[in-house]
Amino acid sequence: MQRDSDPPSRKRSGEPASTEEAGGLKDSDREGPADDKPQGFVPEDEAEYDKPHEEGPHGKAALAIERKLEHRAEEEAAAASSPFALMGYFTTPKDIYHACETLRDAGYSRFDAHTPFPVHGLERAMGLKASPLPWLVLGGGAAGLSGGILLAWYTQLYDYPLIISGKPAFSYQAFIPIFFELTVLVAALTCFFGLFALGRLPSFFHPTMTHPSFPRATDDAFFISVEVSDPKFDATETRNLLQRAGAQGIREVSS
Amino acid sequence: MSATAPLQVDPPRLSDRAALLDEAPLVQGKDDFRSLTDKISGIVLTKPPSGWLILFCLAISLLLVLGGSLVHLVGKGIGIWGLNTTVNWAWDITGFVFWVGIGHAGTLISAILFLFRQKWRTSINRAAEAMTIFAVACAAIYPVAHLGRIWFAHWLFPIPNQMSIWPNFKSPLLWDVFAVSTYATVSALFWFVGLIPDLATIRDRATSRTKQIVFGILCLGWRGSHRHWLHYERAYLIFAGLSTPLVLSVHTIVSFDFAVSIVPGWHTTIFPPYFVAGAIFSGFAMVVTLMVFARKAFGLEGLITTRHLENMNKVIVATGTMVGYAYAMELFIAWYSGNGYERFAFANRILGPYSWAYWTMVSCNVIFPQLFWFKKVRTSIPAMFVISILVNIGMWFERFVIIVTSLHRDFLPSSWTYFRPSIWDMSTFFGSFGLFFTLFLLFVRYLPMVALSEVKAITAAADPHGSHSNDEAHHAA
Amino acid sequence: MKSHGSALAEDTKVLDRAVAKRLVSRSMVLAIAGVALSALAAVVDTKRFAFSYLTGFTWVVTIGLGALFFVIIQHLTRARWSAAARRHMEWMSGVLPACAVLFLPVAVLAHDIYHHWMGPQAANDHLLQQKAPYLNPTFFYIRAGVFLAAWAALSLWFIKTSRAQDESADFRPTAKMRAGSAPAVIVFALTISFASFDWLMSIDPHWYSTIFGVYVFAGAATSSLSALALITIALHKAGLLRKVSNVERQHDIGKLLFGFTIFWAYIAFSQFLLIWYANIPEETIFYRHRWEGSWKVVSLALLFGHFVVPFLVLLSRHAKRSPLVLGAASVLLLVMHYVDLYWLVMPNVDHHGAHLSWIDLAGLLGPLGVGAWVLSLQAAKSPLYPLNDPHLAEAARIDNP
Repeated sequence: MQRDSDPPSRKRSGEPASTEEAGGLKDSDREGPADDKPQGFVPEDEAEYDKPHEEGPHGKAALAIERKLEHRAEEEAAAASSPFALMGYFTTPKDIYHACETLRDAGYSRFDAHTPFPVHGLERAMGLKASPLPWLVLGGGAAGLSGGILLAWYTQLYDYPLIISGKPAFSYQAFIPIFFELTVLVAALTCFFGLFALGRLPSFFHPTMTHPSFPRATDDAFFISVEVSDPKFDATETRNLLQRAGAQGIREVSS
Repeated sequence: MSATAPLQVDPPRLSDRAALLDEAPLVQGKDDFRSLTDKISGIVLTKPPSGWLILFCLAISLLLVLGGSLVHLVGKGIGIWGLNTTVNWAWDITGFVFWVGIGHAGTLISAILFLFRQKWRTSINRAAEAMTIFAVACAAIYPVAHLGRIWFAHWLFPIPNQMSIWPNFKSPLLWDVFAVSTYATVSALFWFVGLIPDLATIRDRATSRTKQIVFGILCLGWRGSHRHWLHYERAYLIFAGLSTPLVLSVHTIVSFDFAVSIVPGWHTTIFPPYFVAGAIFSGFAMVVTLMVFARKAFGLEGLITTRHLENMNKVIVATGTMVGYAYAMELFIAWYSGNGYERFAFANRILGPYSWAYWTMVSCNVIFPQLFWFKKVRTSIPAMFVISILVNIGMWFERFVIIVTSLHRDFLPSSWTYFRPSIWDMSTFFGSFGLFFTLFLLFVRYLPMVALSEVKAITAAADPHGSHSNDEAHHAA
Repeated sequence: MKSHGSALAEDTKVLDRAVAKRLVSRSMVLAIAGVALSALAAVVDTKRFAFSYLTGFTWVVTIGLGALFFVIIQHLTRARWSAAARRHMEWMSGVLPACAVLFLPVAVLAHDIYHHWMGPQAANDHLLQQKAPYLNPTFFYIRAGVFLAAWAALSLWFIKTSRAQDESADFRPTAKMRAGSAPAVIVFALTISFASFDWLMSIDPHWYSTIFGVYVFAGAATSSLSALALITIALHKAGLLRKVSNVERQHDIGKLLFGFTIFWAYIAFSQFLLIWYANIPEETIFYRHRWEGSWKVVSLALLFGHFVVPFLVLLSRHAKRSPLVLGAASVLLLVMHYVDLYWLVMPNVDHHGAHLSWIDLAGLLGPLGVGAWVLSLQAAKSPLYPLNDPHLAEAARIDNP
């Protein structure tokens, strides 16, 4: 199903097969999944980075990319001291489901799953509490309804009462459509903003995104990230646990 | 207690099960997660088929017609339309109701079918929701244009005018303002929430920096975290729960525009559910028209299968029959009421100067859709295309018949008249298709037109407890 | 695919013989008592009893019709979750053939109930002369015969076909019922609409409303779902169904009940607002009568009891999953459905205010007892769920996230 537009670098056939390979040295990662290659114009040959094509159409871009790469390398070096989480991925919903159950049963609490679609029942496997969103929306709906009643009362009865079509100034029967619409409107807005507030979104950077295979989290891979700050976290213990669960590409990501 | 032995499952019974119960798989072809991603994001990330540009140019030309008509309207006033003192509402409100109605199918698919766990909706809901928003945008033109002095449009909202008078909350037209603006807002929010995970997929698949940044911002940094999915799924359910009564309320309130009056032919209590059924009916017809094209143009026959189209055709025949029921009830009660004015209004519809419009409406809305009772017709692409267009024509005529035939012969025979549209009525209406198609073509080109994460979630491989092992299936592609 | 057997091993197939016997005998006692009470009331105050009985009769018949609608619509939409619920609704729709008998008192007392247009004074009423081609006794009885025959035929056909599948373990009955469901729903829609016009709307023959049939249908759907919820809860409580019907299915029924409660309110509000707003005397009089004296209290009870309270209660997911809360809401809605019909019928007798009487209770208990008896007979002799429904495994598995 390779499309013409897909650059060769996005072929994932070179996926690390074994866990040792995936969790191994940084250098081997560089050759393995190539997802962290810079996008846009990238010289094929490493050596080309040394001679900037000032005169060529891509000269400036190449220079910029080079600086960015250097910058990123520095950042990575600086951040290496503060690891954020240990990540690995699975290729089936079944595997991540069982891995999450294993982590939950082992007493982990600060871990997350990253999946291309909501895996059915994963919140139970992870031991997450139900979302409080319905309560927020209920509050929003109540606010919308009372706001609507207040608006109708103020504009139709208090501020400038008008008798139209022989009906009382405050004809609640006729205001029900407006009350209803405002209830739904405010409830929906609460739901929308509540969703992002609860998830702390937008957040354009997150340490988990630095995992080289992470773009697959929105495609066909099911990631697990166990945060270093989890009280149960232990560098080797956790890694072994993930390995036993069958995770691939296990590696540490830093903030 | 009687405890019989476990049931015998004999093989022949299982083999004819699929045939008997008509259980074709929803998503056809050997798609796995990867190839689905490729298929959908490919549409956004690669050059469109050549026909797209041609269609886009056509749509833009029509849009220019709309723009020209509106500029002329603002310059001259609404006198350029064919309205007169008797028929003071015609193509403008017909166009408004037509477009609002079209939108309803999108919400039905995205919200109501979701609540009823109809998994087939996932292949079409994104496009149908987009259609909703664009149709509502087209509808919004009419009330604003009809103001004549559109620079006072802000007084549609509860803002006191220069006399400190507030808009009248008892007016159905104000209810319309609240209903349509709420509907547009909530539909857009719902649509956007649905888009987020797919925008993130596009971000991760994009090869140009610009696209990565644009889609990266649009998806708000979505990273598929299950702690987000948890709230997301709840939000989706709530949006569906809110949109369901909302969509009913919108066409209900549109029907109130007519039905709260005392005009014979308008004032009848079945109007609210009747308008809602008609709206869904016309909207589904529009979805079928669009999907027949889109699946062909973008090679999505495996995702939007004949079964999807067949299901939509079933909804069309069901809602078409409901509309037929409403026509029959209106007619029966008009007679049963014994009220001379009511009886005249309906006799005039059926036999009067606009009988041609009435019979166009009845044949397009009630008679032709009955062909969908036959599976052959339901599953034939050319047949459903023709019928869906006929339904759209019929539903336009329905609104025209309700509005114009009820007005043109009012209580005062000396003011009876026959309404003829002006060229500007027509250019405004046909131009609005330009706006609709321009927006829709931009959508299919630049946004994922199939709800990728939702389609993935209904595949067999997505079940965490299923026996399906997708390792082989996955790397086979 | 998981085999049917393993999914349902825990479910009891039929009611225990002793339990079934007790159920039938108790409901028979109720039926006999109800009929006796009705007979007494008919002798004491024939005129009032006619109206009271009509209210009770329509209460039973609408519950049966709502059940029939549910069965039809499950086949029409090829629902997979509702195997067990469908069987319980088949039981309930089994009262429809009995309704042909229960209709007899209405037929006999029709001249009391519909005296406006059946009585001699109709000859002097210009409007009623206009309507006479439809509103005349002969045509009325013919139509009633058609409605009752159609309902009995539909419910018996669905029950028979569904039961045939219990024995033969064949998928063909399912295919057959699906094919039959589409024409059935059209017959259903037309008959329930005209029956509502005939039996309820024409008591006041000057008044008319196009939505009236839909209004009665909304009440029928709500009340039958309430009864279904009660049956489901009772079977769960008795530990008879665990797999094919479980708390998830109860949740689904609760959701539908919630939806139809809103639908009823929507239809009721649409009818009210349009009539209230236009304020045409011949239409507004209907609400005027129902806002006089103590009828106002009944109207408000309907607003709160049939909509506001159940809406707020059933909004919660926990409420729909709680047998106690859902059961209470169902009982409330069943009572309110009776109040709704009472509110439609009785203002034609009790002008300027509601006057409760033991005759009203007698008018209800007769049809109620017979209905309960027929229902128990069905439950006693038929399996508790369609044993060979093709979607039993799914019904046991689908959950509500």
